[in-house]
Amino acid sequence: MGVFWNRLRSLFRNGRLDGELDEELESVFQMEVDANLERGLSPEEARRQARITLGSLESIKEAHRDARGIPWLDNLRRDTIQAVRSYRRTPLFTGVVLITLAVGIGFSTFVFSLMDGILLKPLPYPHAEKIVRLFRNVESPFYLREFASSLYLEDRANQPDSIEAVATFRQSGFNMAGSGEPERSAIGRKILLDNKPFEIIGVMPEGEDLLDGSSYQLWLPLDLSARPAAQRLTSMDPLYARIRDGFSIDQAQAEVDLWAARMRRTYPGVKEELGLHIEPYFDDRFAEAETHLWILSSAVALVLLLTCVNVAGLLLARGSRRGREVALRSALGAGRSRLVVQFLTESLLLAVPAGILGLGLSYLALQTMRMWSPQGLPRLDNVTLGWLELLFAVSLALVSCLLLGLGPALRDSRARPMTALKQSSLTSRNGSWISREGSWMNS
Amino acid sequence: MAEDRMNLLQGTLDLLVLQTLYAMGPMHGWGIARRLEQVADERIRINYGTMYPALVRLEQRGWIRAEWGASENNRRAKFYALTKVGRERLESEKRDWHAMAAIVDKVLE
Repeated sequence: MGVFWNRLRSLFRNGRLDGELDEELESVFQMEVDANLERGLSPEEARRQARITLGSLESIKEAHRDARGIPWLDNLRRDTIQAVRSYRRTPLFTGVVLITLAVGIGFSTFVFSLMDGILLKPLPYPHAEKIVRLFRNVESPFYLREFASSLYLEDRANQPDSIEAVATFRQSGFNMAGSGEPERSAIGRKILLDNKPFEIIGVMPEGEDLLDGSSYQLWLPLDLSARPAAQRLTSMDPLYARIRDGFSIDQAQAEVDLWAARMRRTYPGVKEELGLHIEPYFDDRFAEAETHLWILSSAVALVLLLTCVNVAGLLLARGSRRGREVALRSALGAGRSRLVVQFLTESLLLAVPAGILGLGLSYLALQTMRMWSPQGLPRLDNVTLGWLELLFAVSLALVSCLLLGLGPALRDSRARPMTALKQSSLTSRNGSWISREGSWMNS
Repeated sequence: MAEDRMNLLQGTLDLLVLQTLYAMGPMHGWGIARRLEQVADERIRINYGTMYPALVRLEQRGWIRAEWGASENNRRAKFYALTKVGRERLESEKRDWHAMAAIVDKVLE
């Protein structure tokens, strides 16, 4: 632990430690020269021999740095500094890439959050795919097909095997007394509705207004027996049913047809209104949303494609300039893996801020969408930027980082230094960078 | 002379440096290298690219400590000295080395 701490500390004192090592190596060099002079060598030869004995000062320093510090962390630090410097030299390039990436990531995350919240997150009903709506078979435009005879709710005795349960609900208003904030601790509390006592037995999950798109504050059991007998034959309700496991919709439809025929015989007065047609409920509800979302997803694919093309183009333009630098670095002994790590660090420095920016953008888009709350997108309250969305944005950022960094890295690190340097000295207008850096190589 | 020089066995340099400092007292880097080559009848060659990292490692572990001082020729030099921990460590490293050498010998015989 102490050793690790020392190493970490030494990273932040690199300048001072390097200076100290320089001084130390200088003194070793002088001692070597002194010893050579004592052996009777000429001053010039003494220095030459000493230089041979010591070997490359740079590689001693490099080994020293690696031993005293944490090499990968030190490299990371140096890569980061270098990358930040190079990005600041080209603010336009950096800005354009950053914004392009952020828009790409933001838009995709936004659409992903919609997909996830609306289509992918399971519905809060067990076996939601088995829930159907029972529509009335009516030809006449004067009747609503959404309401069917309430007699089906009562006729439990003849209910087909394929139908597990039939249900309905009605809207109404109450005067409420007592506190009823929707929270878990409310369970067991008593409240008064129209002066009748009720006990809260559960709290519905937030944002799930699936049955008809309205939001309800309270759900009460419906007491059919409370209905006046005269209303029984004419009463209509929206009917929902759950198909029993192992039965298909067609089987259920066939059985329901029989049920309806029997109902017609029992209650001749109700006639044609007793025919029923089964339709999967959520398929119907989500068909439109799915279409919208697929259109959005295609747009996302397009945006991402454009993002990649844009950024790739920018990088390509920059790459020709980078070629020289890479060639020089590899000529100075930077290994291929070292160069690849450098490129990845560079692109990570773009991808991470772009990912954060993108998350912000997708949050704004989601807020706008909520305010606008378009028709045809149910469950919008259920759409959130949760862990999954964060993961999505992070993965997009990382993948784009890999694509951005690895491409140029593999291309450039393969280049033969000599060829690249020769080429660039022909094409480049200012060779000052190389000659400036080159000056210490002679020392 | 150069032909029969041997490469230092991996990991032995630390032990040799500790022993040198124990036997000779505080020394600078150049002195340690010369001393080791001398004791080995010039049959090993100390590479500074290996020795300086070793010195830094030993210093970070607290087995040696470094101080600037003046050399015999009145040159400013960094002197390395064995610490108390280093001396204890040298004992156990020596034991380990002898044990290991004995095993290798036994296998080779």
